[in-house]
Amino acid sequence: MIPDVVERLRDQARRHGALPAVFEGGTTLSYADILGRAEGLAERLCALGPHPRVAILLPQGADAYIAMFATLLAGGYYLPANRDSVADKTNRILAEFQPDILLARPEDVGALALPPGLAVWSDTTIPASGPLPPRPPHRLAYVIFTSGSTGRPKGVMIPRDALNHYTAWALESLAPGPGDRWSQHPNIGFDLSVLDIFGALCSGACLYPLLGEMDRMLPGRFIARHGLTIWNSVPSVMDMMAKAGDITADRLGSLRLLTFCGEPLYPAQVEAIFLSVPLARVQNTYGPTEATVSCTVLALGPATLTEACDGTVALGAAIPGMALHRIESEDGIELAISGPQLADGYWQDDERTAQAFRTLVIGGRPVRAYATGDIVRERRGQLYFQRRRDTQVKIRGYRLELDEINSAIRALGVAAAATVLVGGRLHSFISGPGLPEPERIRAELERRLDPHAVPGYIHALADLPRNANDKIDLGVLERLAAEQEPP
Amino acid sequence: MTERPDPRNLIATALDCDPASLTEDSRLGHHPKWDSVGHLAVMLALEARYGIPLTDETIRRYESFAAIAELAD
Repeated sequence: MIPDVVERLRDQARRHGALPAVFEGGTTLSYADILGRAEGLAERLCALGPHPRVAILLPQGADAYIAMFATLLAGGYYLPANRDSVADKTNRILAEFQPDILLARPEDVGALALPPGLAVWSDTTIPASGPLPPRPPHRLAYVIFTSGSTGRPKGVMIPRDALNHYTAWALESLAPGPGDRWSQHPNIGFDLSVLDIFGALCSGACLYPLLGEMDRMLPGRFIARHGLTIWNSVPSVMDMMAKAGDITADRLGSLRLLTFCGEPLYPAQVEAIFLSVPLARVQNTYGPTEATVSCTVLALGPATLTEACDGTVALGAAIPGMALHRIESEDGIELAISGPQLADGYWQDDERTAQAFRTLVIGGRPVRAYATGDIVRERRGQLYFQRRRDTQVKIRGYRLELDEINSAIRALGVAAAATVLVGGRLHSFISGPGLPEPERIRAELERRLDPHAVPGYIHALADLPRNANDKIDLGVLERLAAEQEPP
Repeated sequence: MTERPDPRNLIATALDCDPASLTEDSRLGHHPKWDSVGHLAVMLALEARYGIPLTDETIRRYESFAAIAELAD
């Protein structure tokens, strides 16, 4: 039986109550503080029913972490929402999730159109009146929303057992503990944050959220200032550090472990790390949100790096309990995943759940698997990400369906729209009668889409190019976009 | 006489883009190359050329062509 994350936090608070759990804005909260405040909030949540459904719209930091553990203590499940999302998107997600309560700061709800009757709590510091009786957990731990191709966001339902399985792997693999100082870079609406929050607070390590603009722009200096020992982020954050000249022993020397996920990791990024901190352990991980953060791992060392690279760093092998499957198709080899970390499906969306979660026959037995849509190639026993089967892309780790952008453009009265990602930038092509000015389209998109999803270029064409099957020819559009790219 | 740095060229060099691609409306997220990494390059250039320290406040203040252009006035 895998221990529950709530029991792990309780255990840490019992054994190391005075140890630092979260360092934030010059203040340290101990494990006793975190558990005490989580129990206080859980007591109030219990009044909402046996399994409170809680939306958390808080900045990454102690209040958000407390809200998550409080919800789980109360037998509930939560929606971690990105506070930096545009109001329109947050409104859509809240309307889908229909929470019993919204935990948010007053200044963050003013621009929202909240569902009628939804109460907002902002205080997570009210202590419990007494010991919190045990509460039966809900099947789910959290529902996290990702980009959907129709413009309707997809809520990935992660079971509590899946979270417990993933946390158990993280504790075993990363071996964190008291004395570790662990970064918390991804916002809570991005499931990579799950590794930080549950990996640290279930192990006795101390979390260091990167909150301010300067810390996020110059993470290498943040690492040095706080003597961090564990770093977790998307790989492109290393490009920020490189640009600032911060991949040095002076900046990163305290790190014993760097772990990456969310987008391809490049050999040059890892080589730069090994040049400055040759003794640090670097690991690449891979996995969709639908398999609870990640489900592979590849440990890298200076001597073995080249064996595990082929343009990008290999995805690694499945972690214990999880399995990777190769589905042959005309598009190539699509990766599928099975195991206890699989999501239950998409929130109130049986159709999209049935499309993505299928039964495979493995060794003559039916196995429930998630078809990732990732086309991979194999070389010397290692798997490498090749491309997507659909038009999903990753931008700084954010998963984005290009059709979400196209749907948003068409909703503005544009007859045809297609978007491609070239050189890391989004190019949208539009055509049709009475086209609005591109700047007007952009202004509207900024209201409806998160900043990373707003195209850098909007090009008007007389007609969108089509291939022999009368589909929009994305290859031609990619060539047109490349011609617009700066040299 | 010290040569006054030209904000347009300073930003264009930092962003590695054509100076003509920058307009009065260009700012973080509103120019194809002015993303978070681009903004870091702009801020490092401002630090080197104008001695502007990198703080939460300056990172927010100098996120547009217009704000940076005022430095040269």
